[in-house]
Formats: sequence, structure tokens, C-alpha cells
Amino acid sequence: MNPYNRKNRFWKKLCQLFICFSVIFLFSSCGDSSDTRPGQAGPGKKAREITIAYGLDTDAQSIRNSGDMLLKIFATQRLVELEGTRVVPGLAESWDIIHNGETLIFHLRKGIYFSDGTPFNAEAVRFTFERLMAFNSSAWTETDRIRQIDVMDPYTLAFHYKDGMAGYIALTAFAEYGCGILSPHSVTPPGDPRAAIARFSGTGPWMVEAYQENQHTVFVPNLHYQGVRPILEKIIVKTIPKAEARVLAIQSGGVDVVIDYYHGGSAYTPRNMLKPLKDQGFQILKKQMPMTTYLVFNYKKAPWNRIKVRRAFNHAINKDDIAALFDGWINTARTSLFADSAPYIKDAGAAVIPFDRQRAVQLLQEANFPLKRPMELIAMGQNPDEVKLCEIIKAQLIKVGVDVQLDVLEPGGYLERTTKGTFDLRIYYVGGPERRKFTRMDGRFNPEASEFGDYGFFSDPAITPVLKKAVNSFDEQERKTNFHQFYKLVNDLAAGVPLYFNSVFVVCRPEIKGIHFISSEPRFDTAHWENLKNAE
Amino acid sequence: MIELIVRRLVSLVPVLIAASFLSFSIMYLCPGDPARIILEMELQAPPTQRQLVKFKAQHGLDQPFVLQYANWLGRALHGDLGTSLKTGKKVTPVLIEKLGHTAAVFFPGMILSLAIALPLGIMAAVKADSVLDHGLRFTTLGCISIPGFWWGILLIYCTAIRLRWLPAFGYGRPECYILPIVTLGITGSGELMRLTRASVLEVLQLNFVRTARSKGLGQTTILIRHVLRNAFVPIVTSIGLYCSHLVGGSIIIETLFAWPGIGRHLATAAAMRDVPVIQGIVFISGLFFVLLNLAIDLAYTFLDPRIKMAENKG
Repeated sequence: MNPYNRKNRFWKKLCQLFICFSVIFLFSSCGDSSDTRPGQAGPGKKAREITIAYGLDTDAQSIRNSGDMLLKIFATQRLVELEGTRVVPGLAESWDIIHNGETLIFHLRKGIYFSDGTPFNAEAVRFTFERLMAFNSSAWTETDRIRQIDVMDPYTLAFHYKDGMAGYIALTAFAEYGCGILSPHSVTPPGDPRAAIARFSGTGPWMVEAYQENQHTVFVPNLHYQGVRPILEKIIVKTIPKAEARVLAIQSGGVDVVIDYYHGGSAYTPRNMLKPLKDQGFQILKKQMPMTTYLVFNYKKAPWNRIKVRRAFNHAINKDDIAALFDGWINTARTSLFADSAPYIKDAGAAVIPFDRQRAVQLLQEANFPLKRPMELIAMGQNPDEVKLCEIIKAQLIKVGVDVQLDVLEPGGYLERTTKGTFDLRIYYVGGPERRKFTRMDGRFNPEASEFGDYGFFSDPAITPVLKKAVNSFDEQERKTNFHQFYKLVNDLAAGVPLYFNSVFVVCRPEIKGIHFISSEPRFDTAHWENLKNAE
Repeated sequence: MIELIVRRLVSLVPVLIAASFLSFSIMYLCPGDPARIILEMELQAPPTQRQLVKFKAQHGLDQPFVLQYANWLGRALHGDLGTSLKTGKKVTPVLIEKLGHTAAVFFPGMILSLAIALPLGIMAAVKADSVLDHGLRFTTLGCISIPGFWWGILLIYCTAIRLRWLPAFGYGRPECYILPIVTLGITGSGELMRLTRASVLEVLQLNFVRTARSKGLGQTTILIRHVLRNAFVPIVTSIGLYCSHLVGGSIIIETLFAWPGIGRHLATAAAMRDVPVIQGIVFISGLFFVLLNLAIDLAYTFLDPRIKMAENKG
């Protein structure tokens, strides 16, 4: 045989074999999805630790801030906490409001220590809040309202307000995430509110053992914590910004838990990935928040300044389609403006405007709605769920004759458009996690609140005084009455279209037990591996 | 050659000034006030006028555009690229660190691309129009057509999720480097292979190769001693262009593998309008590109002495 032909045949056979193996390999990879079920903990993984995938950096060595929400929940405690609608003692055992709200005095608990061994006292509290004020932090709504903070004795300090406390809302603000008390020795030089954090130290159940910016934070139990010591010996929080990458990480066994951002508004697991994860055997833990995602109008310009138009859009949106979009993982706002955990919503009787397409068309005609001009709906590209939601809304509005132009924007562009008011519709959330249930309501509807900015969510002369009474009154019954009135006004004025109630989700391996929620915050102090616990 | 090096280094200055001025101008003209955007993201609420004024004064954003640029350029030429508006950290050390992280996967990825592309490209050229050649060209078409992030996801699915051989993300451990490097290697190999094939094929048609063959030299000797050196010139150009993607070019891979590199840092800075960081990256990119071009030109003169003589005559 010709040597050239022999060689040619050899290469042909080699190619054929290569193609065969490639096809076999490809098909073997497309096997039963049950093969991606979580297996045992990987080799070398210690059974007394878990690894969490989180979308943000914990900022444990911050130059200008005081750390991320997760860090604050894990490693710090606050002067007060919010249980339902009541402010309850935290690190402060009691408080007094004197001089008609000009001064708020806190009496602190004794015998508490930070994770670095230094004592918790009034100086530490003053340092924490002076740091927030020095950097004008958004973590505390009272930042620009405080004139001075005085230490009266080692366990008593006074906050002096410039124009007096706004009211009850000012007290609830001390339960905010950012008000977690920090040890003055966290910074170098110690006690300097403007210094960078070198070694984060709080009084919470966990302490920071190691931190690498934008990569990981390692938590170990705080030996000085006064409460029950955590079961686990270590929690490693890995920063994985991309949601899909977090899902791949848990599927590959690289992490044991995936959690949403604590305030529920961003850095969350896209809801349409939850069902596949559940099918693969992962646990999906869910806790609803007092936060509702709304379709918001640019109410300052026509035609959105007319109630008839806003009511028409309320009638035009079918929330069942939205539930289907998220595979039923979220609860739609079909019967109520807010979830049950919103302040005083349960017996408020604030019925939601029902879906009725014909009525929507009728109202739009009566209002002479400009159907020829496309309405600009803006969405933040960073939130994949928000983009999908906007596409659903667009499809529904087309059915009532409204043409919608959807602009998916990067964060800078989105902020630019909302600040300048160059939009017709957008998605926005009202309310917040439990710590913010009062401050967020105020920030969305009260133009005098710093959080409101140029647009807020909605503003009306009828709503503002009612809301102010609702959030500022120290009398519970008065708060309840005014909140009921507030909800009724929001509904009657068709301030926005309530779409669904936000929830915080935790995805974890089936062997992990004991992750619990306090309000809508996942906590890991009782988390443990089931097989280990059983063995003990 | 010394003259060439000196000429190129001197040209570095106007190039850097032009590139940095252009990017500074574009950032200035872009919609969105950087101070407002950064404060709003930090505060999670629109900033008050007082906060805006204070922030701008702190970071020199209230000065005229030309003064801002002049101040920045003066500091940059001394190695100080400013302070991040978002984090408050110095830009230079952070960029150097992130550049190191990116280089740690980028250059091995490039070497892998070359290791895959060069032998296959040469084989395809030598066996032109054979089954092997067709098979390789079909494969490279797949490599070029399929985007890098898809290769990354596929590799994660196969090796991390199904087989549990490698981690899906992370930084630090040796095994964490493998998937990003392989992804970059596969993504870059397709184009290089086709270029190698075309270049080698072209040289193989030339008369001096026929002469060498007729002299009785073996195929391997002809390839190594005569063909490759001539064929490498366009390949070196392509490698140079590939290297220019180092800064900011691997953002998708870095995002997929949670790799703390400069591409991801640039994307975050661009979304936040963190002007000092963006300017710093542009500055470093310009510097890198000019030095890279110089290295490529020097490589040409090494590969092909005719280029050196032409330069001397010029």
C-alpha cells in the first residue's frame, strides 16, 4: 500500500475516533439532573463550618463606612431592636426622652464586652455614632439631625437633637443595621471616628477572624458574646457578585449556602433559579418581608398626575402572570398593599384595586390618555428579575392599548433618569426589612424626609400629614389609626400599582439545619450539620 | 535598535496624554453627575445639596474641567492616580494588585492558547485540504463562534458540578486557577490557529521552500528552520493584540469565576462613575499598550532582519 495512503487512513481513523469520543462525552454530560444533587461535604471540608455565597463584600476594613449589613447582623448588636411595631431594649436597657424631644438619653447594659475583650460602654456608643455622622452615612437616618452626643457616665449617654426628635420614628432609627455598636479599638488610632477600620469588633455572636476584600470574610464565634454560643466553629462568607455564579457554586459543592442581600432589594438569587435548585434536592428557606415591589408613576407630570390614569393602570396589571414568572415563589399583592408584617396592615382594610382590563380601557378613554406616545419604562439592568418583570408589564399594557418603550439601564444611567424625572414608569420598592418599616415608609412618601429626594415614591398633600402622625406618634393607638388612614389614602389615590411582596431566600444543602429567621434576617447561630448533630 | 526604543519611549508621553485627556473628556461629558451617583449609591437615597457640595469640594469635582485634568495628570506622572470616590482607597496600589490577579490567569491562558493553536495550525497547514485540516478548521470555527462565558459555564458544569474535579469559583488555591486559564486558553486558540494555518500555508507556497525541498531537506527541518520564522510575523502581531485585552478584556471570565481582577474592577467603576479608577485604568492601559507595541516591534526585528535593515535605512 502506498505509504501516503496508509498515513491518510490513519489520520482519518483518528479523526473518526475523536469525533466519537466527543459525542459520547457530550451526551454523558447531558445526563439526569439528579446527578447534580448535593452530595456529602467535599473532601477536606471540616464538618463544623459552613461556607456561604453572598453577592456583596462585607467591607470589614472599611475606610469610610462601618461594614455591610451581613457583617452588622453577624458581629454587632444595637441599642434597641424593633419587634413588630414596638421598640424593645437591646444593648440599652432603657431610655428617656426629655426637654420635649430635644434630648434622648440611653441607659446602657453593664458587663458586656466586645470581641476584642474591651468593655462595652457609653464611649463606644458615642464613637460608633460619631463615625456615622463624620461620614454622613446613610446607615442611620438621624445623621444630620444630631447636634451633639454627650457621655454622662460610663453607661449613660445623651443624644441632643438640633430641632428636637421627629418622634417615634427617630427612636426606631436606632434599630437600623448601621447602628450596630463598634468597639473604638476597631480603628487605628483607637477612638478616632474618621480612621479606617483595621480590626472589626462588635458584641454580636460572631467575630471576624480574617477578611480579604471582595473575596471572603471568615467568622468565628465571639467568646465574649453574652448569649448562646453558636454551634458551628466557623462561617466563611465568599463574595460572588454574579447571581448565576452563586448558583453554580452551590451546585458544584463549593459553597453550602446562598443568601440574599439582607434588605431584599438586590444581590439576590433570581427567583426562576429556585425551582431547579429545589428539584436538585437543596432546601429553599423563605421569609416574607414588609416590602412591596410597585410599578411607580412619574406622578409629577401628565398624564400620571391624574387619579383616573393611575387607577386604569392598576386595573390593567394581572398579577397572576407575575406569580407565574417567578414560579410561584413570591406572593402577589392581590388583596393587600403590603405583607402582614407591615405596620398595622392586618386590619387596615386597604383593599387593592382589582385586575379588570375592560375597566382599564374605559378609564384610559375617559382620561383621554395619549395612546400614541410610547411610555418610557425604565429598569435597572443589574436586577435580572426586574427586567423580566418589566417585560411582563409591557406585554400587559400593550393589551390595553398602551405602547411601552422599555429602557434597561446601568445603575448610573438609572439614577440619572430617576433624579431628572425623565421617565414615565419604573419599578420601585416600598417598605423595607423590619428594621426599616417606619423609616422606609416615611422616606418614600414624605417629601421632608432626606431619603425622599426629588421624587420618592409618591407625594400628595393629603398623605404627608397623616403619615407624619403615623410614624411620629408615641401612642400606639394613634399610630395604628393614622397608618390605617395612610393605607386607605395610598389605595384611594392609586399611588402606584402594588405587584408583589418581597421575600428573603436562603438556599442551602439538605444536611444543614438550624438556620432560622429573626424577622426576615437569616441567622446562623444555631446552624449545624445534621449528621454531626445526630452523631453527637 | 536603541534609536527605535528611545523614539518609542518618547512617543509614550503624547500618547498617554492624548488617551487620558480623551477618556477624561468622555467621562466629563457622560450623563450622570459622578458625585450624585456615588452618594446616592452610598446613601441609598438621593443626596442633599449640602452633601453634594461637600463631596465635590472634598474630591476636587467642583473645579473647572481643565484644572481637574491638569491636577490629575500632574499626580499621575508621579505615580499617584488619585483616590477612589467610592471606597476612599488609593487607586494605584489597588490597580497593581488587581492587575496581578488578572495577569495570573491571562498570561497562562495565552500560553495555553499558543500551545493549542500553533501545533494545530501548523499541522492543518501542512495537511491542507485533508480530513485533519477540515476537522481542525471546523473545531476552531466552534471555538471562535462560542463566546468565552459559555465555554466557562460548560467547563464549570462538566468539571465542577458533574465530575466534582475542580472548584467553580474562588481565588488563592492552585486548583482555582485551572478553569479560568482553560477557558481563556480555549477562547483565544481558535483565532490564533486559523491565523497560524493561513500564515504557514502562505509561506509554504513560496519559492525558497520549494528550493529547500528540492535540496533534500526534511519536512521538519524546512518547517522549523525556514517556514516558521517567516510565518511568525503576523502571529506575533496577533499575540500583541491579544495581550492588549489584558486590561479590561477578561471581565466576563472574572465575573463568572468571581476572580478579583481588573476587568471586574473596571466594570464596577464604570457603573459607579468612579472617575479616578476609570482614569487610572485607562492610563495603565495606554502605558501597557505602548510598551507592548514596542516589544512587538523589537520581536519583528529579531524574527526578520529585513525589517531591521528597512528601519535603519528609514
